[in-house]
Amino acid sequence: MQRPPLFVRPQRRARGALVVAVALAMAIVPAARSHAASKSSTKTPATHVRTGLESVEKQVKEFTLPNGLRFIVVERHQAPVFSFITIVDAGSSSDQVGTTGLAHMMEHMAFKGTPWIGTTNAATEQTRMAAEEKAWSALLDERRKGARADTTRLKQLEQSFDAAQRSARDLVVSNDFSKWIEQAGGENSNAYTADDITAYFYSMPSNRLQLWALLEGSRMSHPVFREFYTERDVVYEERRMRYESSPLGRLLLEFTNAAFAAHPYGFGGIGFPSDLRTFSRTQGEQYFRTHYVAKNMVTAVVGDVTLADVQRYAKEYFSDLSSAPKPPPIDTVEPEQHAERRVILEDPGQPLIIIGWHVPAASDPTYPAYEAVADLLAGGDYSRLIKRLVKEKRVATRIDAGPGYPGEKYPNLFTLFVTPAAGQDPLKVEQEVYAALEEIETTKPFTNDELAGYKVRVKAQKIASVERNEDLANELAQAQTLYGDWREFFREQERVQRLKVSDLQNAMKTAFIKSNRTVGILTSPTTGAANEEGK
Amino acid sequence: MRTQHFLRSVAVLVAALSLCVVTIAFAADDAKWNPANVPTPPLRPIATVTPKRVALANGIVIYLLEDHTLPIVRGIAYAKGTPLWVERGKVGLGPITGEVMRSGGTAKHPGDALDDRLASIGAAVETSYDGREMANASFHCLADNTNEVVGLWAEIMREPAFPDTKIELSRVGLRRQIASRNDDMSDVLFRVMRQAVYGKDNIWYWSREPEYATIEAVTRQDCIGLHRKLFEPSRMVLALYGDFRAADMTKLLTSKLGDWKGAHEPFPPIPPVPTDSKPRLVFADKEDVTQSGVLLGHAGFRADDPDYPAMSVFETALGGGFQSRLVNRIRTERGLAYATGAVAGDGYVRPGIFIAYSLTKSESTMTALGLLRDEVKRSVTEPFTNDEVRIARNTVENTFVFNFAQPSDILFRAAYYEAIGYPQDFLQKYQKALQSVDGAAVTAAARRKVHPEQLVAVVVGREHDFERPLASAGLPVERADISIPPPPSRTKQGSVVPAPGAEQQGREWLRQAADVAGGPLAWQQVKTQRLETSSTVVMGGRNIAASSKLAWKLPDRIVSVRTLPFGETKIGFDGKNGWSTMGATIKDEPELAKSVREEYERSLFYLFGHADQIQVAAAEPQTIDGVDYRVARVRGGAVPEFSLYFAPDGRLARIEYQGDGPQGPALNTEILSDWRRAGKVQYPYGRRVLIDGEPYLEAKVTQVTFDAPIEDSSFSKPSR
Repeated sequence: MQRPPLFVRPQRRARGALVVAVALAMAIVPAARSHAASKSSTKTPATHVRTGLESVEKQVKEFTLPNGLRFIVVERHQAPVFSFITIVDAGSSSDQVGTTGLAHMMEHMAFKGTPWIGTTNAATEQTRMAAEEKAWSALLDERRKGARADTTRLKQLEQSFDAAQRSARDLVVSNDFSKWIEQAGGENSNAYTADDITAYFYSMPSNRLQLWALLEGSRMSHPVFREFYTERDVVYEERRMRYESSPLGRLLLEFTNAAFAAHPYGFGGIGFPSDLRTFSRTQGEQYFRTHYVAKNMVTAVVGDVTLADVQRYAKEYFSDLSSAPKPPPIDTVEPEQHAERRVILEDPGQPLIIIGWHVPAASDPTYPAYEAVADLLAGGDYSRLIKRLVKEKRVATRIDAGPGYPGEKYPNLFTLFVTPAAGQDPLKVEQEVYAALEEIETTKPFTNDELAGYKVRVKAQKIASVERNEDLANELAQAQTLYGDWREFFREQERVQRLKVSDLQNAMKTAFIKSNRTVGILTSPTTGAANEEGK
Repeated sequence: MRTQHFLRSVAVLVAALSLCVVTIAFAADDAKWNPANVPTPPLRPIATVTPKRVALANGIVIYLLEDHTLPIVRGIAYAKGTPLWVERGKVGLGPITGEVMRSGGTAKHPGDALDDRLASIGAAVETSYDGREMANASFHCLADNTNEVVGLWAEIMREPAFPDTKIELSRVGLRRQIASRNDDMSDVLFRVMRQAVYGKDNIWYWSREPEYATIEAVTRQDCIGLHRKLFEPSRMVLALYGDFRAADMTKLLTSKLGDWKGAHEPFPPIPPVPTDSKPRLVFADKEDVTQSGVLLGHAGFRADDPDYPAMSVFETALGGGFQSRLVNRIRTERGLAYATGAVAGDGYVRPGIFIAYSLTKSESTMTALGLLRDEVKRSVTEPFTNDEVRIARNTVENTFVFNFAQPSDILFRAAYYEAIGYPQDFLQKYQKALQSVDGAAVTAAARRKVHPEQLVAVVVGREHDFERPLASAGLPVERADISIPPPPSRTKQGSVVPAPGAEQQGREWLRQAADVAGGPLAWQQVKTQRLETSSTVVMGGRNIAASSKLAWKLPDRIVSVRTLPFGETKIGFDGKNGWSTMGATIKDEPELAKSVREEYERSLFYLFGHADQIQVAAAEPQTIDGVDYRVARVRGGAVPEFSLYFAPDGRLARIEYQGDGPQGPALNTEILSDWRRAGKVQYPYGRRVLIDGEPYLEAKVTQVTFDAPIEDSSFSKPSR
């Protein structure tokens, strides 16, 4: 069964990932990992580590079109199916003040079709869409006058806008693009907008390779952003579902907004309500023109395909993608935080705790240490915080940890999500967390055995992550976007193997200081402290 | 077919450049970019993969599939279950059993050590049971560790230890889940739906809803009993996949599981699903949302129903994706929802629930409800168009290949089908049946399976913001109570719940009471007891004199003779078998093993003799007849939780538990008094028993002797 396109903040699922953030999503999606495509600094010299993936690596092929779009292809012929993923190296951190939520909006728009898919008359439709855009512009101008707006004129403009929308909609063949995917047997069709990237993916029976190429090539190079203003309402409903009607969603927004003073990571991705009510299709097109260019994208195809066929269809259907240069990264660097930030949300929901400390981007050589710390703190029943707070003291029922919130391309947060046990005062549980961390930093550091276990788990997870076509495609495309080279997916383990306990201890010492942290607490409205059982 | 008509003038398009990202040369490319022109070559045939099937002598069925591509091994064991095995007062026993099977480990490999060992080799063993039709135990590991991990997996399945500490830990997790169950609107929506469609007293509803009181009532013995029923070798199906040799794996599994003998508890038939929900609007108020959940539902059908293929097509066309009527009408055209859709109501083991749903802002709740009702009605009264049916059928048929995307999919499905009693060619038959599904077939199936006039509407949201009142839907309105029953400590009688960290305190009180009565060592050393009492029993409103003689070889050989005016009754247990006599009648009493165990665990021999090991936690104090008692709860062990009341002088004054009364289950209160020296201990010579707070028995000890020898034969069932 198809699921609608999806906004989600996926995080690294391997080693200490923030599963809770993913829990806000309706569908499980692969982890998004995205870094600055810094070419040389993060590439690993080939150290020999037996990973179990040697044969898989040999099967990976690639080619690049003249416009700069890179394809990664792995032939696997055991079943007549293939999976693909296209990753655009831009996400909601590319949003700007005034148009937050636009990156996610354009992900929705990418399903609206082309001049040949989704309309009964492309040319007339464009005229009507132009009229719709004009009507919107006029309406917005009048609304901006606020209390001084002429109410009669306002009503007229609203009616004109409605009429223009209806007129444009008359020419629409609703959801035509998605219908093509669905009826061809497209499986697990979905997309997501993370802070660093936007991803589109599905699987198809392998006799549909040409259709796939047409659909994906045409929607990325010749999109028509029809039904923009109705879809804005749909996105607002998504905001209501994920962030307004869920206690975790409410807390997460407050927390995220507080943790970043300057960088767009602090916007929250879904968009502020006023922006969701005012941004225009024109602004959306500008965003698309800037970021959906061949040099800013990668497509991975894994399954029952041949390299020759993929090359042929790539040339035929993806050549129209813009060959404009890759847009520059964001120059804003989040300034150093000098004071603890605390957000206390009084809410009818059960208590929750989120703690975040600023850590470097994933391209930094210390980043792997943070991933290891996350696993040893909260990766499972074997981990320190879960042993102490869940199993022994029973003050929490669940803990998740990981760097890379809300993204990894830029300096980000190492976050702890803690679910207090029923009847526990979240403020007291927070202190228990700090006490446990303090102990690891001073008297009970991580041991060589613990770190060795982490290295084995990484190995096992990586092997498991190539089993299914869609997972392998995802891993290769993520690494290509992240490191500028898909081979880094196979090399990553070497960085992990070189980790020493001192790396982890230093990472904690650097990041886990009070002035560097932002804390979000959801607590009961009555006392602001202990939450009552059985509300 | 869609008709597409294009102007061939580039000039017009350049003028409209503001709408297009790239100038479109419509001229020669129209045909190229039209997906209708893309040929569809035939699909390559799906390679058959046949797992190897092995049956062990004890009935365990194993499916094996080798795959040497990656150096990993995974497996799963399916264990059939039924909610009938968990009484209503103990809902939560299923998930607790499923969790603690793994978290508690085994005697040889306790849980925490197991956690560390498996993590250190990048492996996992997992168990779970939701209380309904299927429990499972699974594992995965690197191929190098196969022998060890398969061994641990087998051991967990056969002999989980269920330690009390991990049972309590599981309860802590469940308490948080219970407390949070109204936090997210969609959780509330689907729970209210199940309650509305099944009825709150129907097993299929309540078996999913643990409460604080029901999880408190779960004991270790309950977990052991449920595990034994679930993990019954003669009913289990296993599946293993990965980098091993089938012959070696068969040998390994035979050695680990071949001699496993189950208890052969019979498997009762699955309780039927109610099909008679009353059409009405059930509403649950939720204040802290800006979005409502709206749905319509009624009972569905089983996947082996002949209508299943046609209903798959129906589901896709009504609410299964972007082609569907619901998504188009409610999401795309009106922008009223992000999430909307429908499911036909098929279930593999038990019939599912037909659902059409939509999440929409509060201010469009009633509109969305109206649209849903219209579309569901239309789906039955107005046949789907040929286009709709074609697209939906193509969708269902063309995704069929994904059932075979990985060899492991084929393996695990074969095992699952065998576990649930479906034929191995179920999917192939389904695929064949799809070929004859046309518009008429879809309409006919829809009319048999979807009954708009029987639909229950469920609405959850902030009523204050709705655009129209609930009554405007024209259905009788019923308001659901979703409040969470408070934990037992707030109810008047019976259970009390210990606060976290109260175990230290409870143990101190018990130790003090033991000390006052002679000390744990003295009590431990008692091997036998002879006891004679004279008592008055309240029966039928009259006081009846009685006397009794008890001989007890601790812990579990006991014989008791009670003399009443109308005759003598004897009850005995010789360590294995229980019996009773009344006059000349001799009966077997199979339940006696349990009763004797519980008697022992509530006895002073156990409570005082093992004061330092018992799990006892301080609870809220109580004042009775002007006396302030310190109260503690004893948990764990064979006996359900019970309370101990300590008097101000530190003595144990009362023991209170849920037991039996003359008319069925009742609260039993034993009041101890008149403590006197007997042997090396202090023994209560006065005893009163209340049943549900009312006087039932008053007894005086006439003689008590410790450690006198007792012949084993006294405990045996008398011969006729």
